[in-house]
Amino acid sequence: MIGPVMVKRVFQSAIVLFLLVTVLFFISRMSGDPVLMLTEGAIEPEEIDKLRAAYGFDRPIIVQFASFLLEIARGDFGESVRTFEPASEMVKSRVGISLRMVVPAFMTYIFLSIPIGCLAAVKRGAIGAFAMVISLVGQSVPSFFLGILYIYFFGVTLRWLPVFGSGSWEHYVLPIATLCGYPLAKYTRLVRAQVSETLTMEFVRTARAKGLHEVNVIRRHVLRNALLPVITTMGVDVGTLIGSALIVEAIFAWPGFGTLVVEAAKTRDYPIIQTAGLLIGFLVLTGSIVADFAYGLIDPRIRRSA
Amino acid sequence: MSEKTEKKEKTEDSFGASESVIIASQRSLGQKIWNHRMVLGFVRYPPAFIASIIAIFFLFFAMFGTFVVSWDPNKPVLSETLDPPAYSLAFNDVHMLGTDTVGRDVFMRILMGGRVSILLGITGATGALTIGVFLGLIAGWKRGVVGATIMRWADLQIALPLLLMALTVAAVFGPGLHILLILFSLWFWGPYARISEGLTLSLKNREFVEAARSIGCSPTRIVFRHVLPHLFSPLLVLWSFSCAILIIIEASLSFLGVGIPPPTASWGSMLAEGRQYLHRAYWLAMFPGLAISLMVWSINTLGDRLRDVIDQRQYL
Repeated sequence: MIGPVMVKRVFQSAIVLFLLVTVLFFISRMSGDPVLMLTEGAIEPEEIDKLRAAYGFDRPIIVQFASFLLEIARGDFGESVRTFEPASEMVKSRVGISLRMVVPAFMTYIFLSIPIGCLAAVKRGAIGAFAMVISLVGQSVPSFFLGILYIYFFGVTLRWLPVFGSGSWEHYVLPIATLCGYPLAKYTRLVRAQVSETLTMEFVRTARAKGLHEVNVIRRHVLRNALLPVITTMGVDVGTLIGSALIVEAIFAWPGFGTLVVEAAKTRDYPIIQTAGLLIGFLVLTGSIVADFAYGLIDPRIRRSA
Repeated sequence: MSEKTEKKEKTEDSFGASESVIIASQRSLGQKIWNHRMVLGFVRYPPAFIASIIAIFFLFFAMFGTFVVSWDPNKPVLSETLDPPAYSLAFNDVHMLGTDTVGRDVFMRILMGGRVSILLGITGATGALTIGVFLGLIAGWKRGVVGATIMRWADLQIALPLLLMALTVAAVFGPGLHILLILFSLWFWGPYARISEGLTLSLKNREFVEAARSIGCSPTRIVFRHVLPHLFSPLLVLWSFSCAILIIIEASLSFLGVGIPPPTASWGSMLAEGRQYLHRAYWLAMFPGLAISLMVWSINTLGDRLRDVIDQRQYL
């Protein structure tokens, strides 16, 4: 049955999340005195002790860790050292802006890579070769360079699309196209590899032998089997997607979650980074659990054997 | 059981490469590691040949650039700012790829920028390999609490990907080369540990391990002398792919402004600087970007080829 396996997976992920909290806490204490780190030394010596007591940094580290855990359990993630707003509020308000770019991009590359990969596997020859060359190039061009290429050709030279700002649908085209680049290439390759492997299976020969139309053979017999690993990879790739969204936001000055994180890293606003890190960890772990669950739902073999 | 482990590897793989890596390794167990026909077969494939030349070119300048180039690539020449790319037979007198905002030669800076990127990629990947293989061997051999603990730490690296971890660390320590190097080794050993653990688990019950045990070999000797050599080929392939990933991550960090601090040339920071001059001087952003893409393409092509050759070796 699928139940016990999922319980085990959730339990393991909870342990990993706890490790993440621990690591994030201790990194902030590793650079020595947190007060000096937050104020960057621009502070009077007598003020340091006051601040230390105010933040509770004078207590033993284990006590600090325990109270940190308690605060997180209560939903208190500290406040930004720059703006003094609660970190959770700041992160929350930015995530929505990022999703406006990430969700369409996700949809685009999923709905494009499956037909293209399929076509490349079925129609060998020119189309297949072309798709593979494009995807090999796409996998080698980092997203920040792809974004700059788009800006240069569509924004600066041809002047077709705006490169900064937001408002109309046109502002979404370049960021989404940039974010799609790498995953589109990767999934096209993956789908093609899976489909061409499945095409050699004996049940495909059987399906053809009983007179099924080739479209039906692909749709009902090949794709169902070939797409299983694609789903798992998607779940694992949540982290990669967040990472590249971060860079794409930096290129197009998109005021989302990624920009917040990069700004926080540059201004050394640790509470924001910590909250963001926890959110990312949570999303990645949830993504891989959901993918596992979906895998079990789709593939009856896993459901029974596990 | 086998289906379960297979699924586990697929789920927890963050490279997309390791699936076939594992297949490749299972086929190549117990075979001779290198022979001349393999090397010949390796370069006979034209893309792999081109990729080797590109990789060797960049690597050469990364390692010996300071001996070959007589002037300082970071020194400004204010009379020659924003010169466009020029071509001449006397290539010592012209700037082939133009100059930047303070008159530094872009071509030289690309060669020197590769130094940081490539060496950081190679050393980072090697450090991660050492840690990951060691921990993976232990986890696969011991299992139990020790194994589970090691593998949860490996999972942690997927939960907070390296790029984001690097931003976190930059928020605490500020940007710096040695911080990145340590971080790359400490936060990138997961994939190596996962492959070593999986293969050690499957090798543990093989006859040759039993034979070694029966003649009285210590566990340490069995692990390092009998199990480890079998991991060589899949680890080599993974190592090449992770060099490419680390080069991209370093460039991304420098692009975001939290990687290698200026004035040291780095592909990522050159690209970030060039982005602001796209309308006036395209060469500032295009050529560094092209350099990163070429290098990453070369490494990926070489890694792919390596995997194919290792895969094919049984037919040779």
